[in-house]
Amino acid sequence: MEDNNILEVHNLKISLPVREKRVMFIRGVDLSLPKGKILALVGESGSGKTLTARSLMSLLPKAARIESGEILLKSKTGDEPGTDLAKLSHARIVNTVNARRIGMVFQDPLTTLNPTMTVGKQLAEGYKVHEHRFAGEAKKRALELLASVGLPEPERCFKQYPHELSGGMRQRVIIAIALSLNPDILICDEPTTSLDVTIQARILELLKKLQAERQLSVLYITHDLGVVAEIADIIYVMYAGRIVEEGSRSDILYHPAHPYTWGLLSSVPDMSFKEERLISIPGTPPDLSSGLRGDPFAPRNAWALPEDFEEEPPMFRLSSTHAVRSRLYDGAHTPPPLPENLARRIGNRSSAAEKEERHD
Amino acid sequence: MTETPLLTVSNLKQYYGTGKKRVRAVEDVSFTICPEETFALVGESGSGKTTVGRTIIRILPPKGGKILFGGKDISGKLSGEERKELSRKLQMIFQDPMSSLNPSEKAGDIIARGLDIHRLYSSRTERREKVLSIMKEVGLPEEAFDRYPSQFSGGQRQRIAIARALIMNPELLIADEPVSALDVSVRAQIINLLKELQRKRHIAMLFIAHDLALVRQISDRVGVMHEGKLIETGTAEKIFGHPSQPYTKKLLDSVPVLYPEDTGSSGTGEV
Ligand SMILES: Nc1ncnc2c1ncn2[C@@H]1O[C@H](COP(=O)(O)OP(=O)(O)OP(=O)(O)O)[C@@H](O)[C@H]1O
Ligand SMILES: Nc1ncnc2c1ncn2[C@@H]1O[C@H](COP(=O)(O)OP(=O)(O)OP(=O)(O)O)[C@@H](O)[C@H]1O
Ligand SMILES: [Mg+2]
Ligand SMILES: [Mg+2]
Repeated sequence: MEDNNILEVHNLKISLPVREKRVMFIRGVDLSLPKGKILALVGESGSGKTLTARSLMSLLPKAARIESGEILLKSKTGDEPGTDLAKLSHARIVNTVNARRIGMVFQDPLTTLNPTMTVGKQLAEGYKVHEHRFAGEAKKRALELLASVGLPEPERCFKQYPHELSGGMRQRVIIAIALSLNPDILICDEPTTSLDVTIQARILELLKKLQAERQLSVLYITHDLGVVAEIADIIYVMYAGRIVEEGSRSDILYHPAHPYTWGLLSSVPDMSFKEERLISIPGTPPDLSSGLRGDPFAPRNAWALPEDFEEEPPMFRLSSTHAVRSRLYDGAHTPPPLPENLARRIGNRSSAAEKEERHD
Repeated sequence: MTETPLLTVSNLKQYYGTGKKRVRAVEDVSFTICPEETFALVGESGSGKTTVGRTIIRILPPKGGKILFGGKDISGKLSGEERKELSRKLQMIFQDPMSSLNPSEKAGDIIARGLDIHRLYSSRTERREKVLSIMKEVGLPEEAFDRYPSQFSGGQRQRIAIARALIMNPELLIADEPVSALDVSVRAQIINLLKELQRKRHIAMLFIAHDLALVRQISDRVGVMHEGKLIETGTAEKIFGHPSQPYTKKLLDSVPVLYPEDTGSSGTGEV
């Protein structure tokens, strides 16, 4: 395990049954989360981001099977070899290995919260179980946390049941619960999608503060590339169960290499004017259950090479931080220039933004 | 605007709970939506946007104020027949896709639900064809017909919810965060699709969303909510270009942007 990584995923493959057939939805994912960094995992809807995240806590659907791979969590002291989470049950992970090392915020707020328990009870419960605190003190901490995630009336919220809260309030409660045990790693799956942007900004601030103060490492899954630009140190792009590009924030935002990444960045709408038609990537995602041949993105890729239809490309390294799964970068081909609209958008801004980046 | 509105909401009030636990979720909210128009509700989380939507489709009876839909007052007590009629013309896409989809029903049957209730087909084959055609339009593969909600990703579930609403060909579609669970490319596809269907089928839309860039793309007029009140209403150009309320300004300033100094001009069409 590399020294500064707190978590490493190697060649993870996960299958699920679809109509009596086992389908590989995660097809070999490699991912490294360095300590104290925020890693954003972005990509197509249905590409396997949630499955990947859930596997880290052994919280996969019952029918799911890890077919291969390791999920290494570095030991607290760092000198022992990491623990392979892929081999442990959820109960083992929570109770023994890392009672409080990983916190998780799930995509579906209503399904995570217990509908029969008040918010306060759910929060305080965690403290009591893990920290043996008295009820009074647990309550005080719980109220502080509810305030820190931007809930306007913590006292009221404390006494309410999940269904009595708005979508965004529920989401903040879940974030509070995840942070309540002071984890080393926080896994967030779409944590701010139902929040208004002012509260979202607050949550992002809070995460950055925890990152700076106590080296919190974050795996952040989102569809909001503006958010990614705001908080990510590292970005991984996923398509059809595999990572297709990885790099630093500036690698991916200012020097994107994979045609899928180009399409994604181009699809972000502009707030300053109204477009007749939004840009999107043509075609539909592959149906993994009907078998794959070659690069699953090839049919939608204007830059696909003949051999892409035969065999999926490996990752090619562009720099020590940047790698891409595309034969356009195998050295034998001349990579095409960025699509015009994207080049224009990145355009002159890249020089200024990059200078800023090198600064910190 | 000289056109007769399809929907007129005046001084709408909605509360939850009673006595000391009473929450004033919506207070004196008024707006209109014309046929084919898209009116967006944006604003603070918890400010009552979903509650407004739920009250219009009469999941909740209004605690005060009036709702006129197609010239008819729908704020009072409704007969079963009136309810049924309303459920065909008014459709809502709910915010939380998982909890709004029956987990024990197959996707195809969930989507066909409205057709079943209103008997809008003459054979099983026609039913299946109608469902498959809308599934295709929202980007769901055919094999999704026989799968259950838990077997889909968050974004795929959202498409089921969109298909279920669109198959009814409503006059007014209330879309509560309809695309927030989707990746940006699919978001763009669905927004393009909604715009297109809106033109083709003359659907009016109440669009509730936190993604302001998207709201800019789809809406004709925008209302900003804060603490249960509608604090500002105007054309999209006005709200985005010259917001008058401090809260609206704060909202616009908080939007995280991909390329900070981006001033626009990114072209149209597909990549
Ligand atoms: N329980 C299940 N049974 C069968 N297939 C499943 C199950 N859960 C997920 N899948 C499939 O696995 C794939 C990956 O799902 P996952 O939820 O990880 O996607 P995602 O990247 O998180 O998407 P989104 O951005 O839409 O949330 C999807 O194609 C989905 O249909
Ligand atoms: N069933 C309920 N019982 C009690 N209070 C409720 C209930 N549903 C909503 N509320 C309260 O009503 C207010 C408005 O909620 P609503 O869901 O309409 O907000 P929203 O604007 O849609 O927020 P978000 O953007 O977070 O989805 C909130 O204060 C919420 O706590
Ligand atoms: Mg997901
Ligand atoms: Mg809502």
